[in-house]
Amino acid sequence: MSDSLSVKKELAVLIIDDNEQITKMISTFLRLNNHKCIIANDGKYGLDTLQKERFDVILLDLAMPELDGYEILEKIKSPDKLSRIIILTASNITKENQKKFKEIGITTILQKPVDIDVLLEKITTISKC
Amino acid sequence: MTMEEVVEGISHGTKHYESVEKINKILLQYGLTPNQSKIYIHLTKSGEKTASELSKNLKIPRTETYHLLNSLEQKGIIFSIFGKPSRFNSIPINEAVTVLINNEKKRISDLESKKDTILSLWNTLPEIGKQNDDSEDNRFQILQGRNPILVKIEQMTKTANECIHILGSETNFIRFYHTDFVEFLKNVKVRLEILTTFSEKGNYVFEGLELENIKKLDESHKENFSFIIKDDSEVLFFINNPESEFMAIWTDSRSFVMTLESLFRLIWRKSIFVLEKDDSSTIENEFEHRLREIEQEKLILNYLQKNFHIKNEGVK
Repeated sequence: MSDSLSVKKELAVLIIDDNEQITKMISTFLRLNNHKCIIANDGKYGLDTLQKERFDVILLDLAMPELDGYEILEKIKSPDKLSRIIILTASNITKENQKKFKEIGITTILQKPVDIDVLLEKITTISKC
Repeated sequence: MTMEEVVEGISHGTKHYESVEKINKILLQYGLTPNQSKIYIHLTKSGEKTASELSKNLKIPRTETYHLLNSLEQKGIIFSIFGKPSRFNSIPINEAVTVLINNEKKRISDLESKKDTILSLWNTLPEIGKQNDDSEDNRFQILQGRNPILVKIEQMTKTANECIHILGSETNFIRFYHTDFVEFLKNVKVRLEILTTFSEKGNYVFEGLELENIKKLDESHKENFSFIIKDDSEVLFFINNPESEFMAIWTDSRSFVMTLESLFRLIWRKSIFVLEKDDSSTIENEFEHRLREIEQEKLILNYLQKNFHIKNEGVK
């Protein structure tokens, strides 16, 4: 197993992605490593959950029907919450949007497919912030 | 006073008569009064004259004629020839037009140089019984004609602190072609976002601007409305009426600005950059998107299988 998974602290992770397969699989390997995981397969539920509870890491997809990732980001006002977000998307991200994400405090933007070791490493880094 | 009197030998109704009338009108735009213009035209076409000859020919009272000659001399487009009595003549029209233009330029430059003085003096004046003005952020201004609108655009783009948002069809912005409109936008120091119908035929309007700042406005919005928003605090809304002069409304009404800003944000989010592939490649994009998702699923699945295997071995 990867060293990056050996995070001692139990993390609370929220996955907001409309792809059910991916959310199930990510939550499986996170749970296997004793992390708590909540899945939101639509933007609205994701935003509600995010507003109500505190998470160490939030994995956010951008392209979703109805409320998409961009809209969710516009509604989040807390800098702490924004800094805990990892954008994980299969969409192309323009330079302009990358710049905007950085301006609001999002440092980790990953484009699918992402190597799992890389993803775990990023989760670990963000959770330590 | 008839035109025949202004220029001897040119009769009413002739082609030349109409030309003289037109020249007369144009000279008024260069800052001459109707009588100054007539004296200048008369002198130019009839040669040097005394003040009394001019007064008699043009049927202008003698005292007024002297005043007019004096003012035209000060403007630098006629001169006097010493003698008894003094005679007057004019400089050629091409030189006169240049002199009049330079006079206007100097006047503008003088006005500009006095701006700081008037402002500092103004600030020394006390307020006299002024009450709190609730309409401070609810002002409306109707601007008519291209120049006043351009002046307002320049003012908005120069004083913006956060962003400038522009929405509108190319047809509207083509009206500003050959003006400093694009220069104003190029000099914007804050975030500039433009939503426009970016056609191959009309995109020259935005020539020289960063295409990364421009998104393509859906064809369904074509011709409907155009506006410019500054810092979520001011808006210039263009009124499309092909039968009348170009008009726009400027306002800092918060509700008006917020409504148009929300509309802008909504359309901006749903639109694509002009540099991005257009709708014809949407299927291709979706396919690419789905392929990446499948690839991601595969990677996670492999990872899970590998780790299950390791765990099972560990149990053994």
